[in-house]
Amino acid sequence: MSQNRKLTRRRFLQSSAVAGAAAGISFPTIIPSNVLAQQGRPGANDRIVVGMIGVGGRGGGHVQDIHARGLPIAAICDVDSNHALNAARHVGRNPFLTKDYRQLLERRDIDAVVISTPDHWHAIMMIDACQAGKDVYTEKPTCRTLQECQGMINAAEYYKRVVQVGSQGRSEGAARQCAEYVRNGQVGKVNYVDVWHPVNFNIVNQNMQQDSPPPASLDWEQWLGPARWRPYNKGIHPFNFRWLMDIGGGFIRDRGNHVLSCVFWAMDADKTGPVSVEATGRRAERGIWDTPVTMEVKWEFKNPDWTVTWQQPGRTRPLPGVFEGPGPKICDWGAEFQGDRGSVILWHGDSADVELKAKQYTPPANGVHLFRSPGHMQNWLDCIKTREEPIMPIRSGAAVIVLPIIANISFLLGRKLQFDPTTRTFVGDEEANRMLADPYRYPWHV
Amino acid sequence: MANLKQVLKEIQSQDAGDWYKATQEAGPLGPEAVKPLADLMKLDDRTKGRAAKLSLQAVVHTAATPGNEEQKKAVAIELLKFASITSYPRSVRSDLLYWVGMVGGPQQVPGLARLLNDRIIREDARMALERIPGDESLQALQKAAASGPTDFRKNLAQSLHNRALTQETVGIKSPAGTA
Repeated sequence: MSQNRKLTRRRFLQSSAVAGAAAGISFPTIIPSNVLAQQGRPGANDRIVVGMIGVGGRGGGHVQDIHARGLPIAAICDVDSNHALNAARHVGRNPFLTKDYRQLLERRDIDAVVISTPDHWHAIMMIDACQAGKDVYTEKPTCRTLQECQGMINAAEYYKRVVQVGSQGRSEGAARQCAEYVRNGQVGKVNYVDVWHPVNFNIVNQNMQQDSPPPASLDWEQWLGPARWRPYNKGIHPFNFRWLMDIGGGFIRDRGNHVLSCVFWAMDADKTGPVSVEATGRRAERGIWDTPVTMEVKWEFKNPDWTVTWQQPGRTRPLPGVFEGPGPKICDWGAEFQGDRGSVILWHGDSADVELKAKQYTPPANGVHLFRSPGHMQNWLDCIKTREEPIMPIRSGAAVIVLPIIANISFLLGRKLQFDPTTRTFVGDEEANRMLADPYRYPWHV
Repeated sequence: MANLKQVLKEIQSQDAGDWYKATQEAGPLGPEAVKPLADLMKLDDRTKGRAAKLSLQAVVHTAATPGNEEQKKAVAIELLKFASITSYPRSVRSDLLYWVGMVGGPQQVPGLARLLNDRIIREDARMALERIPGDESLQALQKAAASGPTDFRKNLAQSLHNRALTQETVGIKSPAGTA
């Protein structure tokens, strides 16, 4: 860099302080990360500089986690300024704040981003982040459509980015124990995996039925982004977007991700997919939410032949021998693997637990031993430096999300659907195939 | 099997159970159900409007069942007819056009192309054209992108970009980060 163009810290602070003072904002120092290490990735001894996109709810938890690890959070993006300011106060050091994630991605000082927005943003943000040279931790569910799945896979591979999907079950010891128990044949050939879950939220608050102007802190247009336009409603943001079919897709696509991810891991099914899906359910009688409150789904797999069912609600299971002290003894959501030699129950899918017999099982030396993750976020951070694939890469995230996506399509269309897991298209159903992709509002696209 | 009159009565009932029943019975009603259900979607009573919307949604998806081509075409015609009525609320027109995208075909393309000039609903019409496969819809988008309103050409260019995506190219952007 020539002397004329050299930006000294003092000059930067002087010029930005003037501009910032006029606007009542102070600016952080920006040191491009490629000054510290090879371009495109942090050096082995360098701290990873992180940008956070979506910092309410789960995203707020990630802010605390990243901050507690001593990693610098250089920028925060949220369309709700209350969320952004709360996160910034927690972090201190005046991170760059914006409502537009593209401004965050433009920053050369950021190595990696954590995406914790509502689901309809995950794909486009992840793809743009990969193109901008950032490694990505993207919350579950992976995405909303099968086209988005493919786009995310392509982006991660083409731009050679380390991407972790936030289905943290695979980093849980109990889920690993369950998977090793199953993969080493302890239940025999698995014919049937029964997954159950509490019902989707049902409207109880009459105030949630009326549209209204959005609060001053929220940029509703930016919140919607690529999704179909709808007026603001208190029943949507925060949190309750989950009960809108085209945004959150219900628990099956939300927490279902966690338990289905563990099911796929145990069944070594990431490279496969179902050949059919049939979903039924019952919606609430009133309110703006349109996901089914109760739901039943059946996915069939071939070669080998096995079936997964989803019941919402399902039959809760007791967990014999799991807990020795006080605490819940009933499994309110999870999966039961039923084989021709026995069965095993996995509790939940994020903070997982499993029957004692699986905890006490040790695979033989020549058996299947699965990776022992140091923790989902830590695994991602480690892989950013080693450039290895993390425990829940985008291909796995895509394989898992296929299940709830096609289940919701089956529910919407009111019929059983045949599916080709290789092409990830429906067989003989044009309307279903028109739902493989969703046109975005301008200017958003993958 | 319920008839149209029964379903319409259930939607306008005071009993929440009747609203749900209507949404379960409406599927096979066919094209003659489109107008009355679209009219009920306009109701100030949001709950009854919702029941009407979910009922019409069922009509659309049932009509699109494989092997039901004639009914699908007839429903698509009716959906576009009422989506084109400017006195209908925007939200209702938007929903109708969304469904045209699901079941529409070449016959709907000229009508959708005309709606690209309707500033209120043109974005929904664009997305419907984007979703409908085939040369006719693609050519309509191309024509509008070349000669339509200047302030809408970037929107149309986005649809053309999306129509050109393949399994291999989706998610990989040009170096400029544009379509």
